[in-house]
Amino acid sequence: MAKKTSKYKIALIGNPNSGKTSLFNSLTGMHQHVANFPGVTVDKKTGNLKIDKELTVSLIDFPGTYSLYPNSDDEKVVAEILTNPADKDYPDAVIYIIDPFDFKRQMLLLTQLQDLGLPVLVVLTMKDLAIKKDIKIDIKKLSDKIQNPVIFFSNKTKENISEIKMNIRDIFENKSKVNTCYSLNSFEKDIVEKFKDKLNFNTDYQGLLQIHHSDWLKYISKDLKKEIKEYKSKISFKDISLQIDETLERYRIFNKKIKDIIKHKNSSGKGITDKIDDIITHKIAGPLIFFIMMLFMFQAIFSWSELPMEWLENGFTILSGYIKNNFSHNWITGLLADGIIPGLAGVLVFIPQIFLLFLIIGIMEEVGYMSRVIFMFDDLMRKFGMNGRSMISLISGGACAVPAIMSTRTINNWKERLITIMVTPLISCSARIPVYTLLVVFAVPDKDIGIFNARGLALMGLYSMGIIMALISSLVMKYVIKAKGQSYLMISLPEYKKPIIKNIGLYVKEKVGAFVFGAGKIILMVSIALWFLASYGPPGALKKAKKHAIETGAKKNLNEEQTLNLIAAEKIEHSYIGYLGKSIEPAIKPLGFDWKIGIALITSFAAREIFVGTMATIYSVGSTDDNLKVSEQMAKDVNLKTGEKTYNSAVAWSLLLFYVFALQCMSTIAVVRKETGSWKWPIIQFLYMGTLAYFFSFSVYNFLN
Amino acid sequence: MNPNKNKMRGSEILKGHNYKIKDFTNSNIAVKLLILGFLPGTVIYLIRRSPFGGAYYFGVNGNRIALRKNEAEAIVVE
Repeated sequence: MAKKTSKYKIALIGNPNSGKTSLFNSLTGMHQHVANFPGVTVDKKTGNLKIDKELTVSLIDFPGTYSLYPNSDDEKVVAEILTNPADKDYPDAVIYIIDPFDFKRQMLLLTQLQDLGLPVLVVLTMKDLAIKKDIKIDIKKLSDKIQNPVIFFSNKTKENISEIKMNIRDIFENKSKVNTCYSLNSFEKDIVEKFKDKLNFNTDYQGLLQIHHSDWLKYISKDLKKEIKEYKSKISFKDISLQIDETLERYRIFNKKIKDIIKHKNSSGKGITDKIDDIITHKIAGPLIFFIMMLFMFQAIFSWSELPMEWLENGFTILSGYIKNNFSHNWITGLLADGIIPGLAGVLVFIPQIFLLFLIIGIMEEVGYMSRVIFMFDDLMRKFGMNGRSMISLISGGACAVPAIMSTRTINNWKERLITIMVTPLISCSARIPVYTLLVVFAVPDKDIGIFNARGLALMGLYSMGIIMALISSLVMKYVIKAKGQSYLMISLPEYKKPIIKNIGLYVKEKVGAFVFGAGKIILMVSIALWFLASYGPPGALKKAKKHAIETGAKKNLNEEQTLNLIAAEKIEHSYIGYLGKSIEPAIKPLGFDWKIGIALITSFAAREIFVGTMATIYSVGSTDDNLKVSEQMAKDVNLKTGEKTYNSAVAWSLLLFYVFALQCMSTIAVVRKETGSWKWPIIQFLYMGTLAYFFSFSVYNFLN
Repeated sequence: MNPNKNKMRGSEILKGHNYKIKDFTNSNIAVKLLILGFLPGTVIYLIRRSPFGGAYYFGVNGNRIALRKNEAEAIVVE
């Protein structure tokens, strides 16, 4: 402990749902830094805690884990770091967080931590709740028995923060002693002794864990891995049975120690949690409640976010107009007003919806409902090659695929996670709504069928098609994708508890941040690139187009505004992007699309809703603030050869289905690339979704035409 | 029927009875169950099955834990 570094590192470790993140939030406040643990997409949160004038320590929030024998990538990160004293995140001490409702089980990891030789401060959380439930814990006796300082902490009153600080200071002033629990058997001792010189460990137990996990620990060299493996098989070292023996021995030791320390009030009657679960996880009522909740959730999200979205849109239109009217016209103002600002607007208008969705999901997670959802739907989702945890990602996909795909990290089986990633973008996201509402006008007449509006029904149909196709695709992938690896459910269903607002706040902040910085960056970049392609063309082409537009305007007696809009329309036709649109026309003609739609398909790669803005420009509406104007202009468009309207219901349906299925989103491609670690999966995803889109558009167009 | 007399699997236990965990049949699953508090000698009871029948909601050691069918099958109870 005689380290001279000015900044000590303290690891926060605990079982999942132990209240670890709440404590971390209480200790560090909002000043947190989120990054990834090196080489993996597991979030690493760090924050500072000022102990006194001289001492500030750095807290690292480790992923929730049950033991140092990991079952998931998250848990592997913990074992990887805690078994390696050379790791740059190797802590100087540990704060071990225990949920008092589930006390015994959590002693296991505590004793493992003790055997690593790390000083441990034990913090029991949820004091207020425990008092309410009449759970009595003899803190002093517990502390004596396990020989670690113990603090009973309440997130509500936060009365013990100073006590926690005092204890941390004590640890670093060498007042705490390190004690051990499990003693290695002679067999284990021998193998640790054998590799003593080749491994770097502080305690024998740490060495044993290194040998146990040697085949996947990154810091152990290939040669050494091989050597350990050969030796293990030579002496028939049975990892699993040794682990079972060790676990049982630990339970035996601490069960004796902690006898009589915790007193539950006689709980023969049903608690609140059981009563709630009787209804909420009921065979029939459970799923029913879930689906009704989802229906209300999306309904609420769309209606509540309407107004703030409108404000944001208007704000950006005004800003853009202000720049155009008050600054000289050059390429910089053009880039700003037509490239960057609309790009930013494309990102920011979706924040209200994404904020609301993750607020609701955050609350469901915080109260403990989400683990019930996982329990209820695990077997159903398994039939489709996914698992219960996929539900949360698929729901999130209703807002935006980017944070939804990131949330698949909690799925411990690679194949199930991959399938979830592959099908999530088929769930209609917020960015498709503007496209749907614009096009549905051409697809369906405005009349009522029974009590429903026909257009409303069509929209619901589009959403359902996305969901159904996601399920069918996952079923196919279940049989096509070959990947090994065991899959587990084994999920704890915690007591229901009142949500802590700060935790939800941080959860929402993280998810919205993922959208803004994950998707936003790319949307902005692509918008800028598209602006260049739309503003410049082959030499001379744009000038000619402008001249032609002015002549036409004069011939037709158009006023100034109409002429300007016509110029914009002709310019985009003769820009690079116009040529691009024309060059893909042969490919999309079978779907009923012309080059104008081709342009919009290309531009909407930045984000699907840009389709609407591009249509506005092409049909020389000038601004996008009026959806009606855009559709009026589109309605007037006539095919010169056939004399028929361009946007009949066949074309509109074809286009609608194209947007339901196609992976028209650069940000999703980027996030899939990041989460799967290769270009292989985003390319496959793009192709299969593209094929679906093409097939369905082609079929519906030819069927209706 | 007195369930305490017969050895059976965790996937076969009936609602409303308490059972005692005896052993496990699959050590790969056993190590994980041990970590979650499924210990030989502890009392286990079924709270309910999932709506589609493939998952089990157990009470063990004062905890509520959901298992899949194959995970529950690995537990020997009496």
